[in-house]
Amino acid sequence: MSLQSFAYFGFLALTALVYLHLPRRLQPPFLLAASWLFYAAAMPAMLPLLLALCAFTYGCGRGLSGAHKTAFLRLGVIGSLAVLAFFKYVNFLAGLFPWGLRLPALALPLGISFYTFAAISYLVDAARGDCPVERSFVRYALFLSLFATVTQGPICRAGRLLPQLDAEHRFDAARCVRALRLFALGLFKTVAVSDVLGVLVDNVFAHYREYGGLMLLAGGVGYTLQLYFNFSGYSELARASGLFLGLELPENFKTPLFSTNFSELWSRWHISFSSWLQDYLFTPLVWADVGGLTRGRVRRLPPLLCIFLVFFLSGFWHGSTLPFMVWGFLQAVYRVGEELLHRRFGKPKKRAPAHRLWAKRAVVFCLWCASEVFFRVGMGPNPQPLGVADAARFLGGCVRALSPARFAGELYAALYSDFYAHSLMIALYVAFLLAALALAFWLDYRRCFAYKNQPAEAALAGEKHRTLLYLLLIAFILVGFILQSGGFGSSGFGMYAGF
Amino acid sequence: MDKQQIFDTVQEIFRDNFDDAELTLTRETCADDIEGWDSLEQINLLSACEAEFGLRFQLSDIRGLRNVGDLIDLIERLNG
Repeated sequence: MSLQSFAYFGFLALTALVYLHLPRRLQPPFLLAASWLFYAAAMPAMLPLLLALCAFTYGCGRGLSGAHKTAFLRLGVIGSLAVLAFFKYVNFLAGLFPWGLRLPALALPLGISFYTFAAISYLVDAARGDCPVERSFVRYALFLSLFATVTQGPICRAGRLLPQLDAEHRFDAARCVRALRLFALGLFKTVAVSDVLGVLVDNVFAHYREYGGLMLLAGGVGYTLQLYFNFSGYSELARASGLFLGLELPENFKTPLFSTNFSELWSRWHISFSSWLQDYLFTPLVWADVGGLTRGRVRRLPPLLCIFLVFFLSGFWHGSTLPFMVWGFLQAVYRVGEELLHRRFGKPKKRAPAHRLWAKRAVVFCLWCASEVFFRVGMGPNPQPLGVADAARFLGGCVRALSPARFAGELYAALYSDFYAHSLMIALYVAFLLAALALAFWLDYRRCFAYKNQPAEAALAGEKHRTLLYLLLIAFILVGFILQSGGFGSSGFGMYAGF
Repeated sequence: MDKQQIFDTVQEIFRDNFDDAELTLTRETCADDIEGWDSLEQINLLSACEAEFGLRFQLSDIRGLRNVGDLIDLIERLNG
């Protein structure tokens, strides 16, 4: 049951209705039962793993208040990472042994990265004294398993979420309206923008060898937008789901495509993950005393090396295949290269002229799109397996054969053969896609420049013609759903559920 | 070194780092207020403070820093 499916709308409404009317002490156990039911409906075989990880890290957490604090912290963190590494890399490692170590291909448990990261963050925070050790197993298990976040985040922090799970929640009309706004926005982005765009992108990547430059550019840029609107829309659906229940979940995206440099981009893209990396990997790595390892020659690792390591590991986390490593490597090169440029030519000025800022945004966007081609190649879906060489050839092809006539012909043929064997339908598809993208970009533009990146639902509510906007969003969502049952499926779980 | 002297020195370090001679700090100034104050800049700033005041920060010292005031208090505590 993905957050954009009709079954989920019913599940969410029913769960919220019962939850908000239960006596306070029954609220957490009920929500936990609903969350486990949600997980079991998606991947029954892996529910025991989720339960085991809840129990294991809960136990380690309780151990933190005793005498062997460090031992329990190590056990919990290393144990969680070992489980994650086993499921993520067992197929990769088995493939390294050519002499016939044949294991049955193991399915990746849904959302495993997200709940292990949440568990590790809880253990470290509790050991550091940033949040109290949770005594109730039910509340702790709910923190890890909450159905809104279990499949693909946002990765919550215990200090923010656990106290909310302890509080009483009742129906609140204003909060419910906020949730509805956010839910409409999330659905619009996933159903009407990302899924519709995905049809074209999948076609371009499947037949990229035959296409001219403009078609490849459309596919490459299109994929970046598809991923962004899917993942940010999904994060908004998750946050809206929390709001219906009275829970404030963290924001994952703050209009990242308007960033003027990569440092900014990473503080606005997949925020719950990048801040996790910063707090639990980058900062400890930078301040670690490595004097013992280097016999006192170096006391600390150079910060730029730490940046490189963190981005590379981020790529490796996304996938153990070469395209993801190239993707991580490119992010590291972008970030470190930018830092070296700043050192050479001076820091960016606070009040730079608008044309310079827009030029920077354009450069950052193009570089980002180029790296996402590797990401797409690594992630699929690809009818035939693609590799790093394909991604490089794809990028090389973007600057060749840039004829608009050829592009028009190829676009028409691609859409015609794929799903709409009628000129009028093709025109409608293109018009709908362009209109949906324009609306999505306009909303992001307003949020970024008129509302200083306030939460998306607040930006939406601040618009003068908001009633018209709500109607537009609903109309786009309905047409998006109709388009989906007319020949192509939705992305199912969000695009990040596979990690 | 009293608090005002520490404050002035820290402000000088910030002006130097952000390449902005008119930058004015308050105790409440935080990363959201200054363009480009990201995690890497934070390290540059703290390293510059370490060199200037002859200190060595530990991870536990710098984790809780929320604003310039916290940094000044930390330097004063370690210096004292």
